[in-house]
Amino acid sequence: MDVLHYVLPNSLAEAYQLLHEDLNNHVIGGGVWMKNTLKSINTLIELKHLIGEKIEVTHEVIKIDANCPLRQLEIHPVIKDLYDGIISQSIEKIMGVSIRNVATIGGTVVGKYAFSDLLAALLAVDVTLVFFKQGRMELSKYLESHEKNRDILISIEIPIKKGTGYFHKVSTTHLDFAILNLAITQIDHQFRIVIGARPGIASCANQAMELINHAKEIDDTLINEVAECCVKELSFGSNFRGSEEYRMTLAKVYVARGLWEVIHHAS
Amino acid sequence: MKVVNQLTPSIDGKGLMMGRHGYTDDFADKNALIIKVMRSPHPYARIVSIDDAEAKKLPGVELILSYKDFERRPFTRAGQGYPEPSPHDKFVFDEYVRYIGDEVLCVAAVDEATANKALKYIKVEYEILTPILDFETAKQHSVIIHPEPEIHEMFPIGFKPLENVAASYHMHIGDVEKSISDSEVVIKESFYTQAQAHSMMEPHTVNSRFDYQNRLVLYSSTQTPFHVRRIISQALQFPLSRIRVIKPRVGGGFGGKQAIHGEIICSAVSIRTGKAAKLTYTRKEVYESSYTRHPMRLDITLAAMKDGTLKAIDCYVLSDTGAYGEHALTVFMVAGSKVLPLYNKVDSVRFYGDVVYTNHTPAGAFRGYGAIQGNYALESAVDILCQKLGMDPILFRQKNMIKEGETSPIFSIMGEGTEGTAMNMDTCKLDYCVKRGMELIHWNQKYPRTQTKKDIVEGLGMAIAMQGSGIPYIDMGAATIKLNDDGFYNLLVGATEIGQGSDTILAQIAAEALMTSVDKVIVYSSDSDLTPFDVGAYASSTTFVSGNAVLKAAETMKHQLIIESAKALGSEFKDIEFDGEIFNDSKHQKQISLKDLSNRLYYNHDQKQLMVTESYVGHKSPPPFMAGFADVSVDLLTGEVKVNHYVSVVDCGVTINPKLAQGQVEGAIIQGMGMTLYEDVIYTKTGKLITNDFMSYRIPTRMEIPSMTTEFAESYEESGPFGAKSVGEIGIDTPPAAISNAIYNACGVRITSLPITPEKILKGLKKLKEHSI
Amino acid sequence: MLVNLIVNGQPRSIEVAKGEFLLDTLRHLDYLSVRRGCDSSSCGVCTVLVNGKPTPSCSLLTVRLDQQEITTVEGIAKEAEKLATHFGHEGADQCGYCNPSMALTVYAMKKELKKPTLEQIKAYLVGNLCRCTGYQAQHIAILHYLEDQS
Ligand SMILES: Cc1cc2nc3c(=O)[nH]c(=O)nc-3n(C[C@H](O)[C@H](O)[C@H](O)COP(=O)(O)OP(=O)(O)OC[C@H]3O[C@@H](n4cnc5c(N)ncnc54)[C@H](O)[C@@H]3O)c2cc1C
Ligand code: FES
Ligand code: FES
Repeated sequence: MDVLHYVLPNSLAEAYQLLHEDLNNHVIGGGVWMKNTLKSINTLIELKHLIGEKIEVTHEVIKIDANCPLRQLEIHPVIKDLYDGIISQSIEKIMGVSIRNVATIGGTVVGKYAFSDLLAALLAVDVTLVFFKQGRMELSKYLESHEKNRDILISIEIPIKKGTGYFHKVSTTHLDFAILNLAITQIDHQFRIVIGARPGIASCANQAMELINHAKEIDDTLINEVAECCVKELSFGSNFRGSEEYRMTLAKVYVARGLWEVIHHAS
Repeated sequence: MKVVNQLTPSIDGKGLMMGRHGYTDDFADKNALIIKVMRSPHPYARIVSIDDAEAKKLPGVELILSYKDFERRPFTRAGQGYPEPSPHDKFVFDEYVRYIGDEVLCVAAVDEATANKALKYIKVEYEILTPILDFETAKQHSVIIHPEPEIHEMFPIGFKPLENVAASYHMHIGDVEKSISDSEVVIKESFYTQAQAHSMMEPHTVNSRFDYQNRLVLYSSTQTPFHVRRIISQALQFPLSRIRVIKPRVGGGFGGKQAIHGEIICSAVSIRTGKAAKLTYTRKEVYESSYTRHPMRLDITLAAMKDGTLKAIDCYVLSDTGAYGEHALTVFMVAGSKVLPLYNKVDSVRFYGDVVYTNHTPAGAFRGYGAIQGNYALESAVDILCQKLGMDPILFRQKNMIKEGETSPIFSIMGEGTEGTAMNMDTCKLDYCVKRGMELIHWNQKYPRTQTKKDIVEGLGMAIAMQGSGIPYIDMGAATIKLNDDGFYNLLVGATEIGQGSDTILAQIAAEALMTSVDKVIVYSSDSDLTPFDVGAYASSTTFVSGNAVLKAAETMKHQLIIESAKALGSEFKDIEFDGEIFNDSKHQKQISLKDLSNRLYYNHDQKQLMVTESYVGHKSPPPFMAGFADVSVDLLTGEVKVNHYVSVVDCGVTINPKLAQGQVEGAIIQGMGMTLYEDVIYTKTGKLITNDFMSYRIPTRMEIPSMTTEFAESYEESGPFGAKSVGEIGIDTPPAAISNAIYNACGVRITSLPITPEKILKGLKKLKEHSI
Repeated sequence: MLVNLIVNGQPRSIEVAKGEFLLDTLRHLDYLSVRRGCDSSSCGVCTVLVNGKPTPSCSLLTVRLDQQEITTVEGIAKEAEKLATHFGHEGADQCGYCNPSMALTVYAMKKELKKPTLEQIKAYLVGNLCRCTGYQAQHIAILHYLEDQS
């Protein structure tokens, strides 16, 4: 990689300013993704002395610094239990321990990777992002927006509530990217269904969620309807990992399986 | 036996785990010029012009070489016996580029950054030509991939470049058409196999320099150091006597390093600059620009009587060798010669077809070497036939397969590129392998299927296989044993350790014969200056061919030792007994230890060096056999497959090193499973390889592996060293058919193209449903 | 840029380009046990420990590692040898190209997990690809190593 300058700015404000001086200036998280995607960088902006890698737990939220490596989240005792551990599970499915020791939550969120397993799980919980300039923002809103805002992520907050969850990644081998991933939660009696790597980025199946959240009784018929609804409302596509048709089948099957699992865990 | 067939840790395992230097790149000169190759962005094009003026001006750029800098002298990069059965169709660089990733030119510069920068500064103009990307249309296509007049075959291999045919072959025994029409049940099916990539962990790498005697010295990660030396000399017209090729530790080969990769370019840079140079492939180059397994279409017809007697096998094969014809004919022939004899009782067999050129990454040697392709087709077809016959596939095999003491006419008809060698199966424990495998997989309880969960079914499937042990009358191995003072030995072999454990097992063979322990036999292998000749690590030849050479050398050494001890003791040769440490003349109550004898020989009396060399060339190639059994689960709603258990029962004669033999089998099973289920090779419409890194080309990880049970049949092959046959390749052959048969038995879907993806299975399941409604 | 690394306990100062990765720096410094398999953080062959944690050295910029503790297999020679003994008994070593990185990852796992199960071992090591062995013998050897109190 060609890196012209490597800078440790004195403040986030300075970092932000540097970032906006040149489109080829970049802040760095773990840097493993950048290594594979960027050939040359003008100024590499170091944040590790400005943004920590801590995980803090209060009664209501888990606050995670943007520089926290994925492995730290994965093994954190509170996160391991929360919502049946879907956040930890989604991370376990990403490469090996050595990558997870380096790749950060910040690089994951800001990268908005369509294949991201962790983003699917985070969206099913709907976490809050804290940016330097834009302040607080829901992950769902952030993922929907198409603007390249080039802001600096400081931390994310995961709400601590009672709830159950299900995460599943379909991939050819363990180290492969997902053909499809999905995360389902039931928090405060509300279901959330998220499907990612379709191959588009993780999205909530809002109509399907509506359907199940307003249902009086949940049975096989309803669950199949909900699964159908997911497939209808979300867009699916083809790439070399899987065809549109296959992804739709997978979505249907695993939404149904996931819902049953979540319901069983809840009861 | 004290050493052979005993638990013996590999002699190099500790050093390697501890990170000691050993691999090719560890020996590169620190200031070596770094070579980068510009590679073709087009599947087929003619280079119109090369403008390297700007690049040449860059400080640190030492040399740029393209086709203009070389005489046109075709050769083959295949590391095979000479003259090679592969067409001489490659130039160091050529005016034509024939696949995306083909070599256009190279830059040698002081460092990698400069070399890469220089590549960016070079402007190449191409005349883009229409490529052939579908191998089924290649033969007699209007596009000709090799129009150049200089290229040629070394002896008749059916080379017809103007028809895009790199090699072709035809054989038959009996009247196939008639046998088929006389039979009661006939099945016909086409099978497709993909261009599996070796994916060894160490990328191809070579470095070169001139030593103080002004000779060219290369370290190369190769399976065939002696062939490499010869081919460099031929291609660059540089005296063979001035080239030394050292093969250090190799980080995996599997056939992928049984050919020239960067060696010629690297040598050319050193020769022209007089400087040290180094060329290491990037992972992308390993995938795009080295070699793959030959993709094939195999059309099989089987004909049988209702009682399950197999009457005829008819097999047409179309093989895709990509842009160059390395190993084209031989891999093709092995698809028949190491598969068809499995069913030796048929009335007639036909095996024929072509190997065609396309504008894809060239194909070459890969563990299994055609046998895996042929096995997938034949062993799947046998199950299809059994289905139609309503016969248990194991009963069918037991009735029709080859047995000990029998032979097959195929052996004498089909060799590798030439005629074969007739032989009887002096050892063939296939019968036992099948029976034992049935027990281990619980065939009788579980076959064909069990429903384990809602939507999940488990199925069993199996396949039998054979391979060879070297190529008779061609593959030669030699070994030198030297006695040292203090009474230990050096074993110098040309045989090529590439991770398969050959240094260890050859030391074991020598130690057993010399009645000593492995630590008293110091192995040094594969250095063209220092070790005797060996063809290299391929064709499952090392244990059998090189092992026999080592055994002979050890026996000769023992003989010489006894002569010398008799002299020292003043005894008669016949009165000496040697137990590995002591020479004992019990008749006259005299003895001398090996240690004393050697010290005496080097320091005190009748001083002389004891050193012997022996060589071996096989007169037959006793096949190892195996039965492979797969237990798989299929998810009926998603088509996802999990292999739960894989049982291998192998007859490879006596295992010189049982644990290393097991490692060979299990490693091969997983590679075969990768080819069966995961390792998809995908090109864009324009011929660019998409699956060119570990993120897109999916080799099995430790999460996918089934539990493996691996056993060896009791077997003793007279012609092998201490009863051994080969074991390096056989393991890879059965997974495609065994897993495919298991999937069929689980869910009724027969997949005839590899890899078997969940999508294909799901499509099959949907079709089944439609038919049943 | 001048960077001070602590490699296997030894301070090493080295002038590096800003875009240089740790793998290249270590090989420059003659820690040749660190090897390249893919250069895209997807094979595990280049694994070293940074402050005790397995990481892909092909993808870590050296400039970011000032004053950090780097461990290569040379730094855990005793443990590597012990693991190798068990590999030897199981025939779990073949080409060996993946082995130094395996030793480091197993060593880190031993420190991190108490009595890991086979499934946990697989999960911890899944990023270490091996094309030769088929993995099973490695797992048996690792289980023995973890039980080895010597
Ligand atoms: C080989 C490989 C395979 C992978 N496979 C998977 C997979 O299967 N599933 C999966 O979910 N993920 C996968 N990932 C992605 C991984 O989980 C991380 O999401 C990814 O590596 C990004 O993290 P990073 O720390 O490396 O980001 P970096 O490379 O450091 O940064 C990525 C981007 O984010 C920006 N950035 C980083 N931090 C901040 C911040 N605080 N504020 C603003 N911008 C920031 C950077 O400027 C850059 O543009 C894979 C990654 C690799 C390298
Ligand atoms: S070389 Fe670093 S992970 Fe492969
Ligand atoms: S032993 Fe060769 S890659 Fe693991």
